[in-house]
Amino acid sequence: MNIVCVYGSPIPTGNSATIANAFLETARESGANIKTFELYTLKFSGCKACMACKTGKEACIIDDDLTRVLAAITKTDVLVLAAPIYGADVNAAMKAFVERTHSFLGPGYGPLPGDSRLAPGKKMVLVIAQGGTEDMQEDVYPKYKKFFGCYGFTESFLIRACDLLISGDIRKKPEILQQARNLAREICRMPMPVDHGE
Amino acid sequence: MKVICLLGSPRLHGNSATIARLFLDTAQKIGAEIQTFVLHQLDYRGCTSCNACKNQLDRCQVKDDLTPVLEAIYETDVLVITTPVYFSGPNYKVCSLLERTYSYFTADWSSRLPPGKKLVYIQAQSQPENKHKDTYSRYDQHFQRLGFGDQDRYFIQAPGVDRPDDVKERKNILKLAEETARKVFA
Repeated sequence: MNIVCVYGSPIPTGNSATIANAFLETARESGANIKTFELYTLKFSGCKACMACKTGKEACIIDDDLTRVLAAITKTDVLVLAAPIYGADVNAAMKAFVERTHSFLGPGYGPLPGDSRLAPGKKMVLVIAQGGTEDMQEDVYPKYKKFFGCYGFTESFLIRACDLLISGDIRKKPEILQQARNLAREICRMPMPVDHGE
Repeated sequence: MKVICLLGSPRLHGNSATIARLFLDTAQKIGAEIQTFVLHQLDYRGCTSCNACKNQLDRCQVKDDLTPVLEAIYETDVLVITTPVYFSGPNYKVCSLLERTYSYFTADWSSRLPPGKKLVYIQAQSQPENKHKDTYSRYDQHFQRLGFGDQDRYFIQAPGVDRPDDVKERKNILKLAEETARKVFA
């Protein structure tokens, strides 16, 4: 099983990364093949609304550090997105990445089958670390579940840790890290119907 | 009177920019000093979570093309922000800018910005009016805390604009932009 993990946080040892790493460690022990990308070490832009991916091109024509991330996602079974909440959404680096995934949709835009350029059956895991309480930013996960659902991520999972005031606070919530490990075991046991066309 | 306009869209002549220009026409007529920044032409990133603005400095420690923009906002009377809606939010250039405005807060969450500024937030979207109202409202409290008063925050929503010049045919939206300009510059 192939897993791609995209870290959005500027802090490589921060809360969202720590949760994602708990997931990845268990997945690795279960035999998964893992690729990781730290957005804060990459130079890239969000969508420039050129519409090339809707008018003749099969992929995003912006050639930058995100090009290989987008390419890796086309080949993966599981995508882990790990981000802090800044303001009211995932942080801006993750938002920029998500904008570029617009290129996964063909001219049909989705959400109909065949509109996505990705093979169906992929799984998405969203890891959210937030300073706010549980009732805050509840709308973030359903939103990304919907968007990635249009791309053919037929199952999505959320691991969310709230009330984290500073980097490292996640260590006070061992139950969240355990939830991440359990989810990794569960996903690694699932059948992977993804046909990458190789 | 000073006006700063931050164009968030990658399209220089798209819908949100067209509304902003109409708004700025009024500003020009009353002799306001206008400075426009095209965010897509600037190289900058979001907050790096260094927290220097809370425990060492009274400014953002990150030095890039956004530094003069953040500085100019201290001086302005009116701040105009324009954005298209991408993935149910402001686009990433505006998101990155909003993150960096975290540096306007002190460690005890009081604002470093002088009070009395006005905000005009212009949003263009292909979805109908009942969609994406929260795209701005989720940030409204942020601007309130920054010191933009309750009567001084204006939201111009341009729904149902899909092609870059659609808004030119939407008289009600253009009228709203002109009315808002009259209120702001009264």
